[in-house]
Amino acid sequence: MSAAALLEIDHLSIRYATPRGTVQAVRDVNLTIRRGEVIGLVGESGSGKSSLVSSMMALLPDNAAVDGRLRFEGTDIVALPETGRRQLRGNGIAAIFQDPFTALNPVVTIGDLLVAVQHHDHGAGTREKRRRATEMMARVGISDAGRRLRQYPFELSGGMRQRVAIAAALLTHPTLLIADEPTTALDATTEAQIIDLLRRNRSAVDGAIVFVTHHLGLVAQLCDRVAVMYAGEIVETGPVGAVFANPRHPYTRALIACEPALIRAATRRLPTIGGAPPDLTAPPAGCGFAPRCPLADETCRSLAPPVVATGENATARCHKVLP
Amino acid sequence: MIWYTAQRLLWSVAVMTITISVLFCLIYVIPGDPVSMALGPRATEAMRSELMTRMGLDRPVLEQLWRFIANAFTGDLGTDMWSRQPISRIALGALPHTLLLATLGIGWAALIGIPLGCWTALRRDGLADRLLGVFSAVTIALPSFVVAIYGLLIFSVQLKWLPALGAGAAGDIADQARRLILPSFAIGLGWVGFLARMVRASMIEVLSENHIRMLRAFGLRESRIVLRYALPIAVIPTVTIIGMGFGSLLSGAVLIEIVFNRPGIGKLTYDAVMSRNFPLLTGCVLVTTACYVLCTVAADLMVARLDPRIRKSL
Amino acid sequence: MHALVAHPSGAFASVCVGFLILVAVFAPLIAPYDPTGIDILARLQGPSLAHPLGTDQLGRDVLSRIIFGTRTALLASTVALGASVVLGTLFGLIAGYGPRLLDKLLMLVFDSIKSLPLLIMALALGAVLGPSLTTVIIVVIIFTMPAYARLVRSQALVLKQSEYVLAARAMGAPITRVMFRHILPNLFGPLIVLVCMDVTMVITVESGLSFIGLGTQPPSPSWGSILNDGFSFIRQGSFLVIAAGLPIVVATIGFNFLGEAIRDILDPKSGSRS
Repeated sequence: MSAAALLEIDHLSIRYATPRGTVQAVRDVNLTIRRGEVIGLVGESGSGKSSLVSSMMALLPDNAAVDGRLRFEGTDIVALPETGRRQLRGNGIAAIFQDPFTALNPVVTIGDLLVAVQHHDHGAGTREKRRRATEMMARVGISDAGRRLRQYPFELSGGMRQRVAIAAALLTHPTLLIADEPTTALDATTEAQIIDLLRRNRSAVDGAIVFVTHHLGLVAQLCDRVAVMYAGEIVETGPVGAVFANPRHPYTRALIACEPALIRAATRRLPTIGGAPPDLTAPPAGCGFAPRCPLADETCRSLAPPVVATGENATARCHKVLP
Repeated sequence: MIWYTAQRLLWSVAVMTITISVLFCLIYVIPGDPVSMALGPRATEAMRSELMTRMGLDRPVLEQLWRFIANAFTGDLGTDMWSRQPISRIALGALPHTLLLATLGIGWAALIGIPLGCWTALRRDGLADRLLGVFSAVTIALPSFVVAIYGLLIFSVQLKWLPALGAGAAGDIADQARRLILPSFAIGLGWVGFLARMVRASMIEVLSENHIRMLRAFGLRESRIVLRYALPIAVIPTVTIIGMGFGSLLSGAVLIEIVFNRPGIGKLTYDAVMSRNFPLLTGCVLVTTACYVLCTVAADLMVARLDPRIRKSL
Repeated sequence: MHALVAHPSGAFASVCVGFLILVAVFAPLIAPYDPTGIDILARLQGPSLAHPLGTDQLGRDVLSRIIFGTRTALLASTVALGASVVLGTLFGLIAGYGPRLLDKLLMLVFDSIKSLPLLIMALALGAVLGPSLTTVIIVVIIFTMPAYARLVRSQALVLKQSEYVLAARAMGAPITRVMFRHILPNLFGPLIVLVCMDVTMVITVESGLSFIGLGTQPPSPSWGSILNDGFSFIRQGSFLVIAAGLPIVVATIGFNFLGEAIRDILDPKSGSRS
């Protein structure tokens, strides 16, 4: 692997024991995230995105069984005991969550929260941490920081809360920043502001940003590279420009065709992908997308598709890679 | 906050006024007048009318009620016919015994129940958790006077470890304390399981919330997350319950005070009922209701203080 | 029913409750003596073949009194909670479907009842109305009814907005039919759970008040008054106290466990463990 690799995901599988059976949420995922890049992780709900992202945060539920390796700066998170994982969280890896309305603890003030997230830094005192928090508030575009620090989350708007969450993440100087659908819960105007804020702070992250979304338009705006997930697998990766201009996996193509922002010709009817994703308690032997794929044949249904290199740093997991 | 406090206090005054009016009317409207009940069948007409005048019973009921309520607001609950002492002084003299008992009962229950709830919430479905489930279901169901009697039987009659009855000699703190052990145990036992269960349930709920996941993602120590960020939210419903529970203990103490023959507002109420001393009974009911209602209000205000979301919205 | 037997504490609770119901129903057949039959020569006897649980201070057979006491306890529970459910449903429907002002007023009254001291009120009413089982039942109805009214009201409010009820009302279905078709079936589970829990409360109040002489009046047998008889002679022998307390323990725990078991079965996520 290249020396610039920050996070190497190597044959990662995640399974959950549930009353209905074992759910294979993530199946044999390989992905390398390099320093300095912003990678977009795209997939519909239930594609295994959230599980993969949780594992990247070194935060997996107790009932999850994990196979494979997940090396962050050379350390395998999967093999690490919980105490070791905790040392990485908020100290190298930081996260911004989906719903700012529920992600901030309601009984502590913004200031106390922003001081608390810096707990790995034993060198600085509370006063210093508070000063950094004030500074960071200004950087994420919150005016009147002194007053805001004394307020509680419920006194702030959703966009403001997400700015606080971003401030919290940036305060830990992460080398890997994971933004888990940070704008899904916000309205369009606020979303644009938050995306703009993230773009301006790209350089503040001395490493990589993983941007999780189901919104392809945002990926095009923000990311260098994209990874598309379907039914627990990464079906296509590649540079954003190349993938959007010329998707090689039929699922990616269908996904792009469905994205309103990327549709050029006027239409009265938004396209959809027919059918539903497979049941992950019993994943199919062949390609997971085969039942919904217009190109699928007998091979697709019976044989797991190979990972095909489609260019530099680009792969597709398909029997019928598009030209 | 001030407006909210005023609103709650106004409500409590209204509840007390209505309760006491209903009781007052029942006493003076429903069969047999209190005078003949109090004096017995051998009273002469002269005795009757003398007592009637002294109690103000010769006036219309509504006027009596009005005078009673007006006096009650100034702290005057009338004079006891037998001891010729102000009823307010008798009732307020008995109240501290009950308050002490209730405080101790719910106090030890909270000291054990709340940590127990946290602990079992963190070790869900472990052995301790299962045992707590059974223990709390049993103790919540058991009537406290049965616990009291069995406790008395075991620790006083059989083992002779603890003194049985009474509040203890005046001035002898050690003796009084020893005599509080069994009653407060009996009164608090059910609350241990109840509080543990409440805290466990709300703790489990809080720990599954998003903001806790966020703190975990920043690598905060689990013990700190539980104590600093989850517990303050998880105990909020418990505070309401403790406040109301304290009030209900004041009334639940009746049976305990009778079993242990302890002085207290419950015992006083019981004695008033048994001796058909209606003015004293009314006074006791008023004092107990006031305590109970104020406890409810205090719990509401406490919750408002603890939860910034409510505090700032008031 | 199957689920109840499979539920660990549910099976135990069913046995307890079933046993109590059988004892109450067949009391005259099971009891060896007349529960009120006085035999002054045989007073305060310990357990013997003739009197398995001994006799009290008037020479009455304790076992027979406890057996008939079961009747008192379950009768009080049935009457009080039956009335509570009926009145609660009525007030709940009025609050849910009636004018908003009436709804607010009823809710205020129910809130206020919740903030009154139960036992003190029971003592006061006992003094005013005269101590009797009826007084106990009245007190219990006053204090349990609000919970049922709330339950019915909340369900009524939910259904008031739901389309199928609006449609049913629009087609002229009377409110009683809406109630029997839609509201009560949805509430069956929660109502049963609440009733089971409340039986524990009724038995506590009934035996507690009888214990201090303000409940069931002698010579009628009640667990509380039997316990009091034993308690008065606690130094002469603890057997009477233990025997008289046990049925209260079994009944309160049994009904509480039953309620919890049913709740677990109806809603496995409710937080209480199985």
